[in-house]
Amino acid sequence: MSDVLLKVSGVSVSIPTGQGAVHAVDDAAFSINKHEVFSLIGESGSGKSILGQAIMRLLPPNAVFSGKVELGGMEISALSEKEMQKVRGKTVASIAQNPYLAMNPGIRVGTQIAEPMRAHLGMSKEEAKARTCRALKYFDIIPPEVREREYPFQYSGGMLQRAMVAMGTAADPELIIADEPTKGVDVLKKRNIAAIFQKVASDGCAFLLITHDVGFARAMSDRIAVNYCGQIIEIAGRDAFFKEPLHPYSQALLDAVPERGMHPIPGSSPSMIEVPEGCRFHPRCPYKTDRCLTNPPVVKLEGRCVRCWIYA
Amino acid sequence: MLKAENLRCVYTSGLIKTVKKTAVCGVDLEICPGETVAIVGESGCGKSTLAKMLVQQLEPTSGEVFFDGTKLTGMNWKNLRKFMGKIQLIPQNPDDVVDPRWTVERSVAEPFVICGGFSREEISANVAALFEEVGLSAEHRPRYPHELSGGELQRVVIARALTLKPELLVCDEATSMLDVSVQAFIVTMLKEIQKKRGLGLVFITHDLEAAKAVSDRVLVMYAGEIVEEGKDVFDRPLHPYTRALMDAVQYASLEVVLPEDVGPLPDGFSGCSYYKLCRERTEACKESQKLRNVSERLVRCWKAK
Repeated sequence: MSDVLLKVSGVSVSIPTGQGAVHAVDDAAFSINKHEVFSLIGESGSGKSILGQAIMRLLPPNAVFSGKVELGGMEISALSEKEMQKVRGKTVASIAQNPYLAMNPGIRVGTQIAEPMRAHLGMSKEEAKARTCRALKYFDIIPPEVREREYPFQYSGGMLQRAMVAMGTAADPELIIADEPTKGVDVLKKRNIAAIFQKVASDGCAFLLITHDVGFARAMSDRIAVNYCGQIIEIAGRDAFFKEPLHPYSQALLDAVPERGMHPIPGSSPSMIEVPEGCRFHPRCPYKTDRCLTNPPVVKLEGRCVRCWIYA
Repeated sequence: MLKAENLRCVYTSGLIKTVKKTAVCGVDLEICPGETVAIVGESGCGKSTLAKMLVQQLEPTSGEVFFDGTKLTGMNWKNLRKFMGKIQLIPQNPDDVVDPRWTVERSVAEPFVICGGFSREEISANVAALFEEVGLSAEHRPRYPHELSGGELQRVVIARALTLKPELLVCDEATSMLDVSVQAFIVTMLKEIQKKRGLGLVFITHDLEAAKAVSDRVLVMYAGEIVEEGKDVFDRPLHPYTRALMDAVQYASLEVVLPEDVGPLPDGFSGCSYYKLCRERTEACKESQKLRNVSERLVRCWKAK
């Protein structure tokens, strides 16, 4: 298939700590097509962000990585750090959660947006500036010539968020990884973020949205992957997923959403150091049987896959 | 049970060039025992300031708060203390409440110690009962806050708030930073506790779906004012701002205008505070708007029918 943009196969990440190794990502496998919005949903502490960082090769230095990440046919997990720097920001860009922390407060916003263009596209200062102004205008930051010369503190929160997206898309990346873009943000701002993301996505950019906000994922994505305790337990098309989630955890997660009556999931999230044997959800699962004590297979069903014995 | 009349709060900053910012202007509120009231609105609309004034953490610039007919505002600290246990605040960030260098057990026991009159055995038995009530096991008790997850710590904070048998709990964004399943757990637990103890519950949130799921009555706030109040607000929104919020939840229209994009209202403007953003504005909206009673609903918009 030529339209696969990102292919992640057999990626595992563990981080050694004083209490033992944290198995943050276990055998993750999925692919993102070109122009596709792909969401990775799951609870905090389920290893979503680490998976995003593993793709960008921005893991903490002590993390142990294994597996293969291919981007547009190139195996980026095998690149040297120097070669990776040419990919990061150019083909795959990330948008951070908090724009106030992600921007350098002492550098003009225009300079920060122009940086990827100067570094990756080899533009001159003037060219980059003209393009920065166009980008700012595109995201309704007007007047761009004035705004370009301002510092982050002179921007309002919503404007800075848009400037961040402008910075992420500056070098025309093919894939954007957005980690928790809506955490702790009120409904109006959330809709604002959804609007700018959709604007960028309609230009043909693929997205990997890492979020715990089920409603946001539903509004934005084409396909959805559910992460539980370091494993991807279900991947499905958006409509199919919300119509009929297959994995018991996906069902429980959707039932916990306020629109569906806020039914809490019994039990609590397992420790990532001593993970439950077999299916990681079995201690909380209402359908558990003896076979759940052995590792469940990844079952492929028309256009979706699920890691559960029920469908084997 | 709790009644607030014409509450106002003005923050002033700066010594020479004094800037005044009205956070809450003229809020009337009444909460009955056993009732759940949700206050919704975007960030910066004065929800948290209102919560702090209700629990007497913040002195209102003007206006009064009554608890069971007793006026709390302006009361001296010694008398006020008797009422402090009756109204409890659960904040958004549980780390703000518990001392990071104390075990959570000690944090929960602290109100008993401050009040006095409890023996050590009584305190320990009470704390154990409270931990059980919020669904935490004995092994959680001797732990430190950093050894608990966000949801568990929030439960510790709720246990602490329940120590002095409050009659009203004010939850200020208590679940908005938590995952959906943990949020569902906390909300279900709060409702159960409410049923058992007959508490009044004020639920401040920007999550409209959560507000809809838990509350008996909803107050919509915008720019420090209550713009709509009633029972089935979300099924039949009457104020244009409530409708805009409902659209945002469903990601319905993606044409977004944020208040910060249009700038503040001109000085001396006394009309509707939503004037600049309202899509249905007319000349008549420049007149000041009062809360009107429209079909069992209070709405601050002259157009609502």
